[in-house]
Amino acid sequence: MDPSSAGAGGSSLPSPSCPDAEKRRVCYFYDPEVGNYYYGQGHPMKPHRVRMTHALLAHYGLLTQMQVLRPHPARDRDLTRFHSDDYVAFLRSVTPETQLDQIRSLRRFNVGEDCPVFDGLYSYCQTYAGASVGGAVKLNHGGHDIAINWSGGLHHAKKSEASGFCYVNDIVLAILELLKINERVLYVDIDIHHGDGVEEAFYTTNRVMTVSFHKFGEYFPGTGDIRDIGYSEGKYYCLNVPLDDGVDDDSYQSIFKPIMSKVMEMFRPGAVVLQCGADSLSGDRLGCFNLSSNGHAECVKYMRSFNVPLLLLGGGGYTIRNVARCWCYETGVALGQELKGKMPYNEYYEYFGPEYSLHVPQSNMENKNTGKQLEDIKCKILENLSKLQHAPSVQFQERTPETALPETDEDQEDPDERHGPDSDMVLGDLEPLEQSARRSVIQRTEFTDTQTKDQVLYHHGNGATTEQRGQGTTAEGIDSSQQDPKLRESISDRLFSNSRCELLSENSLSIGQVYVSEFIEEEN
Amino acid sequence: MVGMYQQQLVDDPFPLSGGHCSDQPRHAPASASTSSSAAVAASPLAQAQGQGHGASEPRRLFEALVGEILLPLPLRGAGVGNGGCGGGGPSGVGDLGELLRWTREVAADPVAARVELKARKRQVLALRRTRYLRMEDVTDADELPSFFKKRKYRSHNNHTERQNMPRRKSERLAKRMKLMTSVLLTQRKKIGVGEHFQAEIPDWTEPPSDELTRYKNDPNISKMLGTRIWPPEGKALQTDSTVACQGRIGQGRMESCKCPYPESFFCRQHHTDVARDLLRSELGQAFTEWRFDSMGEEVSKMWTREEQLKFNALERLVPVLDHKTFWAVAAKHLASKTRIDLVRYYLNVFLMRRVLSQCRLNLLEIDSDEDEAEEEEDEYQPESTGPRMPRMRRVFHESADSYLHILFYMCTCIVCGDTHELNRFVIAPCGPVVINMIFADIWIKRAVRFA
Repeated sequence: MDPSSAGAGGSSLPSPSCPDAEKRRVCYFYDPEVGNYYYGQGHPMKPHRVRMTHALLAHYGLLTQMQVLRPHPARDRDLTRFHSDDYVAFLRSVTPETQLDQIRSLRRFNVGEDCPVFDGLYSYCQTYAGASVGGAVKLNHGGHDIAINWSGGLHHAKKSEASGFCYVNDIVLAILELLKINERVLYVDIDIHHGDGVEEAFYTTNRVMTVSFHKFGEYFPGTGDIRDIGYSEGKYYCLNVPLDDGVDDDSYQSIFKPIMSKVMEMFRPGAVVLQCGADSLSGDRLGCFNLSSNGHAECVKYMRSFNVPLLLLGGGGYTIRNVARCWCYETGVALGQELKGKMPYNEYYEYFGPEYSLHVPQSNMENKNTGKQLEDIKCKILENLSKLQHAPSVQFQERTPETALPETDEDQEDPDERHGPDSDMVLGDLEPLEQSARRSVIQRTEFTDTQTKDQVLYHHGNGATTEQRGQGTTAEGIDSSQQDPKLRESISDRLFSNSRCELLSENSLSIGQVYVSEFIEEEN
Repeated sequence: MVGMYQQQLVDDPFPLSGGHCSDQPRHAPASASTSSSAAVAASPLAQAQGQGHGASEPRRLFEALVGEILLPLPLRGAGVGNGGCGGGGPSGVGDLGELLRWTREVAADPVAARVELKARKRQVLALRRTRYLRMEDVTDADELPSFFKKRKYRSHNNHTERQNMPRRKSERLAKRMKLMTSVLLTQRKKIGVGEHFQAEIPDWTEPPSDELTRYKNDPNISKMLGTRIWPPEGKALQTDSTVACQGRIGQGRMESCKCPYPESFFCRQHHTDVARDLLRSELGQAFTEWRFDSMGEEVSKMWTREEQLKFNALERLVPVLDHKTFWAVAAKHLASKTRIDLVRYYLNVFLMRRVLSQCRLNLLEIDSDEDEAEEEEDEYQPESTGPRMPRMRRVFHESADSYLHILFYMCTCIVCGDTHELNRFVIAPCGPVVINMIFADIWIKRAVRFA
């Protein structure tokens, strides 16, 4: 039997002949109606794939090995735990018949194109979100080691906006639930698309670490640059691993394992949420990776081997027969049960012709990720990770004025508003409806230099943080008053409120400023 | 990563000429009237001509670029000529002038009958596309600076909706936009910071010892646990080899079976039915709760054959009908079926059978999900040249017996373009099209005249 699974994590892999010694107690959420929600003719997202997965599980005999629950639909107040009230109200009220009366709202919330209005939209959202939250509650209760919800994992949804076929971000809601009982939660995303919704939601906190492996470069959603590492308290608690087309099993594991092992070591989360988007599989309708179902499931195996409460969620996946295969296999992995490749007869058997096999093979597509590129990425990420433990608990006196960002500027009401030329954020209010609350930007001219000093802001993973935070506020309060007169000038000059563009250096700042401000003028 | 955009900008024959950005959709719907397209085409061409500021160099580039597009069209007299720039190939200048003259004529009198309408129209559209494609992509106002990447998936449903996009009236602005986007292209897409973006997370305080108990006892939270379906009430989960069918956990199908025609459709159907029965006895009540009785082919049992034929016929019309109205039409013709019934049938039966038929044809690319029509690539292709996948057309034969699913195929030869009936192993007379047909006692493939 495999002794390595007892907490050491990831050192050796369970093989078919020698499965992971420790069985896990698995629970699985499934709503029988989920397969009938239909995004629309021609739309690649098909919740039907979850039903296909369920049928496969049944005929492989796996359903009887775990606790299976029908989720309770999430209520409004569960959804507004993260999403804004008006967005939730909109989702509840919009129907295909009435959508034309709400064009303005449709635009505002980015609903209607990629995220169409369809029959039962809201109850669909309630279902998959309820299942994810339910999974989190199950893990909190401690009665199960792994909770599964294949209908969830919709990671693109934002606080007040739908995006990339996602309306409600069930992952954020689940993590918020897990945070009630766990100090730290790790989020890992192996969907081919960057997990931007989740990253954004937790960008400024150190209680959640988000790690995403994705295709980067002219690819939806456009975020996920390796340089995006988090902000303020959340700095270095965000990892992005950008990849190119055609990544195969070996390449993927060559970076996944080292990175995740280091993450687990440094971050030591109380719970792990793994989004298993199946569009990173070979042959996906929208994807361009070349993972086999084995390679994909390797990630699940690896994260499972750390023996930390694990929430498995679905996500992308647009070649539905491959999605069903993959998720069925991964459920088997969660249970520690190897599955035979010759697929058993099931209700959807004909979908899997002509081979009728469980496995999704790799193709011979070219892997555009060279060994060197992957090495570089891995090094950079590991470097960022090492900064997590860099500074011990910080004393107030050590902080120099330059490092502190003025938190309570007179012009601002919201202490969260911090911004710098080298940062990758924009201001809060970009919707036209909120222009009255336009906020100003604070520029930091010597920011690039002070990055190293920022490290003093970060505390040891285990250290008490409450003290720190209190100190932080005071420090920044003092500094802001010192800096105010200097900054106020640049604030008025550099009003970036109307654009999401962000410039990395002084030079481009001035160029960009010219164009952006002219753009604004002429637009108005 | 950014390279592609930079490439586009570099290759653009008019780096700084601005021009007005057409806000027309990138791919005009096939039914776009000639006049509208011509009108649009006329102005940019006129613009290209009108840009006098020493534009001979750009014009040459432009003509070189479009020379290829105009190549197929026969030369008609010496071109009116737009200055003596030699540019392109021999067909370059003359044809461009000719095309321009033609589009002006059309604009002036859209209704008159014309010859060579289709070819001309295609050229004009191709020209417009070449000229404006990149600009449009980059200067999509709503999306700037997220570009069109904000859309994960472009469905051509949306091209009609794109008509509502804001128009670019100012040439100067368009030029600026282009410069700015080239600056912006090197920037990263932004992540929002602030109360409108982040989730609210309380600080962590070490919870009191009874916190977990309190959490577990909170009914509001426990409600989210949902309803347990398995194991059934009163039973415990049996994960060890205590249950009879435990031995089949993780087992696939058996190596061989005793059916008269192994691996034929009926063999599979038979085994699937057996498996379902086994599952039903194993799961008991849960079988119904999980709605296994409305999965897969079971759903078709609630449809009469006429209804199924009707559905298939309607589905074939999808490329012609707008996607949204397909369901409306289907609902009208299949009045006894609710929308949910239609969708259920579509997902459980129709798509699965489609894979089945694809398998039978040994198509290299099985696609269970391709429920879109072929996309815009086909729009500009000539009718029948060049190697393409043979077009398969399916028809349900009217007089099929009730227990037979008969699918008939007409195949379009990829070489000669003729259609051939398929009723046996066949090599199309004029070319190397080989279709594999499987004969079984009961399964027959027969070609019918495609109506």
